[in-house]
Amino acid sequence: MAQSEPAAPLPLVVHRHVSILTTDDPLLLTELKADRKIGPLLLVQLSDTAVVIAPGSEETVARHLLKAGHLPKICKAGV
Amino acid sequence: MSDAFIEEAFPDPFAPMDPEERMHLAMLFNQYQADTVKRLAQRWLGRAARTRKQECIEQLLGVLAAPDSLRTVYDSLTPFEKSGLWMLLQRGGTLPVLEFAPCLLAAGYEFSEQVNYHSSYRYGMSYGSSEGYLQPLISLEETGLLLNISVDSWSNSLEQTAFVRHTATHGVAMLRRLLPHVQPVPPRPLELPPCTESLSGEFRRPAQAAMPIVSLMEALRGVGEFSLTNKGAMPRPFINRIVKRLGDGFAAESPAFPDPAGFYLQLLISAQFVTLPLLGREISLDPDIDLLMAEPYAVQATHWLNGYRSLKVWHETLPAHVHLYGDDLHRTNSLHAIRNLVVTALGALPDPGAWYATSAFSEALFARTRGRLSLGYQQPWHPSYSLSKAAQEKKYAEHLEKRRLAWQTTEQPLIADMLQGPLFALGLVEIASLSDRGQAFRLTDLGRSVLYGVPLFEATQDGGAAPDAWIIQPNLEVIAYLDRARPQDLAFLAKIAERKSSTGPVAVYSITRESAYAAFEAGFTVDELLRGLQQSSVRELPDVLIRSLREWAARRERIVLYPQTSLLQYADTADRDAALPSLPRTAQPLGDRFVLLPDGPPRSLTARKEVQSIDYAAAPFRCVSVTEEGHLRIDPRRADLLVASELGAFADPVPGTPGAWTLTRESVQRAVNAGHTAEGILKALGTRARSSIPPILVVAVPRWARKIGQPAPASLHTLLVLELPTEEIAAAVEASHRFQPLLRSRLGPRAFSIAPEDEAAARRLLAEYGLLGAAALAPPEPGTTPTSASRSAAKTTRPRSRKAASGE
Repeated sequence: MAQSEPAAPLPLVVHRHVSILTTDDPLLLTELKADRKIGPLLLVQLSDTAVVIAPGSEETVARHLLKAGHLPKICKAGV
Repeated sequence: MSDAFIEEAFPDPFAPMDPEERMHLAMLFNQYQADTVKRLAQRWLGRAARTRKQECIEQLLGVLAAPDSLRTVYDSLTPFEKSGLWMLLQRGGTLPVLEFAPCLLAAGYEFSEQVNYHSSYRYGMSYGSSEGYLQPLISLEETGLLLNISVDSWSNSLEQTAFVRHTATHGVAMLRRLLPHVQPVPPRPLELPPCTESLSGEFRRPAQAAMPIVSLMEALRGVGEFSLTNKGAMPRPFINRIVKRLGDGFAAESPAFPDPAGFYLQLLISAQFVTLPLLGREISLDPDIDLLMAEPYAVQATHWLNGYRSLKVWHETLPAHVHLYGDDLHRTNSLHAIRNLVVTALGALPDPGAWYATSAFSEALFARTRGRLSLGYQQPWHPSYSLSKAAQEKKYAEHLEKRRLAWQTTEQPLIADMLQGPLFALGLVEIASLSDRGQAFRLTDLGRSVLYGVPLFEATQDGGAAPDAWIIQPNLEVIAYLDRARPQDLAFLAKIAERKSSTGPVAVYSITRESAYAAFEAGFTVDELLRGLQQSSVRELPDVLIRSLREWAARRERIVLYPQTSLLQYADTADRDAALPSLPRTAQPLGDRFVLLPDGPPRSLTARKEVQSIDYAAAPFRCVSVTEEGHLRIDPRRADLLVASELGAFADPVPGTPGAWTLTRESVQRAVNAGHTAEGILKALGTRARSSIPPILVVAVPRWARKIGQPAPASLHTLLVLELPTEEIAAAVEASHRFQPLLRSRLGPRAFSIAPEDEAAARRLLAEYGLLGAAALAPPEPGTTPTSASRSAAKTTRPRSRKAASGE
């Protein structure tokens, strides 16, 4: 999809094809960020329980989470 | 226009022929030669056939349009022709030639040996010879009821074309209007005596045969993407990953059954349960695969057997002198011919329940085919017309005997391997040893069901109560009883548990955190899993199993990954909260300004002009300005969510100035210590920079990163210049092995540079060779005027130092 280029900041921005990880507990997200394999892939914190992950790293994040003993739910849906 | 294309356009054999179909069929017949059309008309209509091509075509079309007339044509066919059409119908109406022709031979009906020179040439048969194994196919084609098609070996499909290039890529299809008239005509029984010994053999129960296939399907679901190799095969690492998921004891390997994982994988592809990606990377499973896996075993086994008949890439152990090269394995080849011969002949046993010696079966096949079929090249038989009839017959008998001996060496071992390898593994034959060390076989119940339609007794019929198919132990191992497990039970277990081992009628599975997770990811809820496990369990489920599944299900809700999803970003919390009621119910607020939309944004939102859209699947916005000093500045109007974190990996933020960063030696070294490379840093910066990165930074970053292998940094040195009066003297000095260690570099035709520390040695040598006055042996004091003695044939000059330049 083509990027649109506004002249001034707009009240609403739609981010598409962005990968998000959420946790049910802020401490859990802190623990994940401290993990040396998973942490570098968690790029932008949106809230205390949500973070944007590096594009293209979804499978790697899922794999590292499984190895670390977590059971992430993967929600694939339309964009 | 191709033959079969016409048929595909009008697939309903019961519908009346409309003008368009009539026109296309007319075009088909017009492609044939005139004598072919006339021959067809005579065949179909007898004396009523006309003599001109177009009139004959009209008559043929009239027959095809009238079901009664077509039925009359069918009824006039010979048993051989009816049998051939029935076998073709059983395989779906289309088949490659190399698979179909051996079936016609194996059926055992008499066919016309009349030579059709045109067809012989087209099939590459020896000119004038009717002896080849393709002769029965040529004979069947004379009915006019078959169409020519081309086989696409890569997609395993039969494509439509009028041009036949090679037997390996040639197929036939039945005229669809004939389909409703074709009746079952089984093959003629072989002349094959049963074993007289009392035998006890080994066989696989239907569930044992199904288990590897079901396990493989589940492994394929979870294994991920891959790319085909250049030759269109699956890469070895991918196959290794599948085998690893299947675990030890997946399938026993033997000389008769090499590479079981490869066999089952190709079987699924050949049976079209699985499609390889021609363009993409993901393997595709048949969307109805779960329904297929729950079908009765006899139905599944029919798919497996047809898949085995056409299976490519994997092959049985070949005799030493038979070779199949890389590309041959991806096409229909002579192995398929032998497989189809054997499978058809298994449907022609005199007594489907009896034991037969494999060697006797092989001899019977040779006799049935009259020695026409072979894995390799066969010398064609040409009668010698100069001999008497008796002499010719004697020669032919000798020729046939040679072929029979060759058959015993080449094809017979292969037939034995087919029986005790793939056909045994698929649960279709039982194998026993004879007292003379030979091998014997008989069909299993499943084999008889598939090949003779004998109903197979299965533990429960559909709709009945689930059987007690397993026991679940407190250590979460599942002991499954294969003689009671229904196909849907096996399919369910493969989804939720990992297979550990199987011995005879029992298989052991283990429910683990990973297997339960895979089941949740496949869409099962914990209640559905517990219900499914309890349904076929001998006793109540252990508490530890219930607790474990519920705990794993709960843990799964703790971390949620939304790959490639949509996110809305509002200016502030008030705007976000005001918009929430108008968003889909699946929208989730995140933080103070964001909303997660797992199902994507509504179109009404994206169509609005005041909405900015950023697509992270597209190339990133170039929103960073870069200066030679290493100052990086993000344009906030173009920035996306990721750019700040990308810069933060290798640059330092400027305190108090949002969007400003600096790239320094320290920040680069920090990035390198964290695992980044200089190339990666420059590439990341390059994708975001609004213009090209200043060259000095391109040069500096690798040096800051202390990259090994870069050219040595620049440096300043003090050198002496040795200037000689003539080029001849300079050449002589350069050639001297005593001077060479002192000469740093050539500065011109008569000048060299010398390191300061070598000055004394250089002066001694110059003086020795009379090139320097004795007074000029020592280096001159700074500021002193050289004496006339030092102005000799040679002089050394020191580049002006700052002191000399300052006049001291």
